[in-house]
Amino acid sequence: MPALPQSGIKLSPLHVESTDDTRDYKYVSLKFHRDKRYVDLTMRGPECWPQKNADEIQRMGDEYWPLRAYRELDDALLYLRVNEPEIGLVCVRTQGDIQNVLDRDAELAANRDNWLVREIILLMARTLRRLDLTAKSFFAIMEPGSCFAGNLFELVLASDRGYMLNNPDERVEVALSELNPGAFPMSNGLTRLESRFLAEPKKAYEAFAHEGSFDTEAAEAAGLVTFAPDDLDWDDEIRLAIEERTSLSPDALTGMEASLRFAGPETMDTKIYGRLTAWQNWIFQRPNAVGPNGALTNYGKPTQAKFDYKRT
Amino acid sequence: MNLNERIPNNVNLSEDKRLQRALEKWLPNFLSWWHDMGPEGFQEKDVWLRTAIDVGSEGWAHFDYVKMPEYRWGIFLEPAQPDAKVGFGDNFGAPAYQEVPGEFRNALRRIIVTQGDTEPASVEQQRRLGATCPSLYDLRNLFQVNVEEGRHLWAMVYLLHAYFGRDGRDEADALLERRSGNPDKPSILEAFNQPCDDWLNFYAFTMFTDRDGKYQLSALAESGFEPLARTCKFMLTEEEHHMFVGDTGLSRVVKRTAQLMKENEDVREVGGIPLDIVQKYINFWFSYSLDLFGGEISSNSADFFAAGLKGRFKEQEQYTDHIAAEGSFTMMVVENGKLVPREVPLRNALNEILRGEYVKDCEKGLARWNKALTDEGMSQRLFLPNIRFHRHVGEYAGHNLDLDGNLISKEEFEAKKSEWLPTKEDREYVGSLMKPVTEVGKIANWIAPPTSGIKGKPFEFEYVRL
Repeated sequence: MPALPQSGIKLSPLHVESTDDTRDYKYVSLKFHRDKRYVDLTMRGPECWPQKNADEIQRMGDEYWPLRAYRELDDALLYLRVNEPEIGLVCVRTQGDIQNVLDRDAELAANRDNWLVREIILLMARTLRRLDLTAKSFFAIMEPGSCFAGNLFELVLASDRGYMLNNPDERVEVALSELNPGAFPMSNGLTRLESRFLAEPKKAYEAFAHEGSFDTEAAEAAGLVTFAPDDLDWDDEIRLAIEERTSLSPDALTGMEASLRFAGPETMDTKIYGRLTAWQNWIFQRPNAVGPNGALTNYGKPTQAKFDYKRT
Repeated sequence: MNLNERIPNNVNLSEDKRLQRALEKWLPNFLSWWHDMGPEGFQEKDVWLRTAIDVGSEGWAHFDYVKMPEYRWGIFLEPAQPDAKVGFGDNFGAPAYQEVPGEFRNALRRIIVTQGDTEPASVEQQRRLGATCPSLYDLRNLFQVNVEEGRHLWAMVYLLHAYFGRDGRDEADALLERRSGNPDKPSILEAFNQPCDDWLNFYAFTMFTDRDGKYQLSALAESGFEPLARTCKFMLTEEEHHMFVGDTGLSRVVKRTAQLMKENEDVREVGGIPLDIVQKYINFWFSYSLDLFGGEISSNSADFFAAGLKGRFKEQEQYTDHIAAEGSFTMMVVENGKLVPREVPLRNALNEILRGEYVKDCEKGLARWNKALTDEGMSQRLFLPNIRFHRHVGEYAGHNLDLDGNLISKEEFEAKKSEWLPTKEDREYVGSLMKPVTEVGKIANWIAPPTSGIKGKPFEFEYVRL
């Protein structure tokens, strides 16, 4: 057991600036497209600094990027769940320098026995699980200037689809760190890479063992991203994907997404959140299925289903 | 390669990088497909063909000698209508879709791929007919139909390339990979897997199956997805000639048979095609072409209409209620071994309604052929079988019905089949008549010459330089 802390740190309230269609934290921004029922969620990576030891991290307190950014992400996810039920899709983006993210991961890994660092990693893991358990669709959008590396690459793995730009003139990279193989377990007890490659465990280990970052073609070949449109197709592919996803029955999506997100071993968490709430209690009894305008009621009829797009 | 010079177009190809990139890869594959699967034996010959180089009334009918592989397949859309609106369905009155709406992407892609698939298939079906042409005039018409089916493939490929990203490029490649009649990778629709290996088949195909194309294109020309509507409108101008080839071709066969019947009651003795064989070919191609309209009761048709993707024939001219959410259509269906009427919501019956329009149009052809018989002093009549006869898709598939549409047993059908549908012997007999006639101004014995040539040229014109 690590030594007990001499003193804790103070968690100040998060500072948020909001307008009608934006909500900005220090490291997280939400931009709402309510007419199209989706939101852009952008996470900004950490700044550059020399690696810190545990004492220095504690002195930074709640200003430390991993703690602050993930507290903000947690808050943003809860905000979306409670206040924005009609937003069906979250497009996750990141901005920053990949190396800075990897440096923070190395710092966390080097100090993982420290009580505060351990708590921070647990908070990050819990926040990522909250994303897994959020009944909205998530698309990760990997564009130039993004920093989906290490802990932030978990956002890609937690998303229902990952789109990575393939353009030789504007390279996009993603990378794994020493935290990906175990620091952020999902509700099913597996890492996200293990869940993704449940039927091909070798691929997960190959990805963990990969040296350096992945460019788009390498990421696609390794199965880390869903689609890799080139620059000519990019805008239209993203537009079409967003329009297509948000037009589907929100309850059906909740069920399908939960089924796909929680593959493999069952835990009490996955049974409750991944199966029961999302499936039996949801889809077949919901007005979107069996109400007068529901999809099952209208199946085979000349009338079209009309959905209530609220998601929890 | 300078695509913009090579490909006549009015879609701003020179500015559209995405389209250029897609076509640069696809064009060589198309040419290699044309080489392998296009008309056999005549690729190096000069053919007097119509080429569309513009959508204006002058430009689309430009005639000259051209070698088919050098044909300038172009991409043409009817000019855009300012303020175009969705003309029917749940989004009636909304601005027309200029891009593919994400929620309709799959449905639209399916519609376009299904239409596109028929175009190369028909070229493949007809590829060996050149070797047995009844005249240079007919040979030229065959090739005109072939190159324009090729252009119609281009039209659909343009939509896939321009509006469907990588999926669209993959689908466009797949269009060149499926082969008519190939059991491993057949064409999507069955009429396009049937052999079309003699000229009676060709005329019946262009009369009945290309006419299905006319009705499908007309329904798509109403589409709220404007690029599709504009593409199909222009395709319709070309499709007209294909049906003309079939309609007049059969008319000329019938006329010649009637003339030969006056010489000898058994026209086989004098090298003609007996009317009963013509009737069987009509039965065969009419019934397969009816299948192309899809099931009588169809939720797809309802969905496509609701979404504003596929309308009715002459939706704007013929109808006032463009929502069509109310109302019903009564049709006969098979229930417990009996034909009974069933009321179906209007939107679910749109395939059947389009099929009805098609049947009316086919009847006009029959009337012309029967007039040819009358003119020759014959009392025999050709007719269309009932729409329930010999169906493989929809409510009547799997049942046995006679030419009048009555339910009969499988045994009765099998016993009568050789009287209703072409037999192996019938096909062999027709095949035996298929000897090439390639001398200028000459024509095979089993068919009458046309009443006029093409574009002011006489029948006695060297339409193909051999």
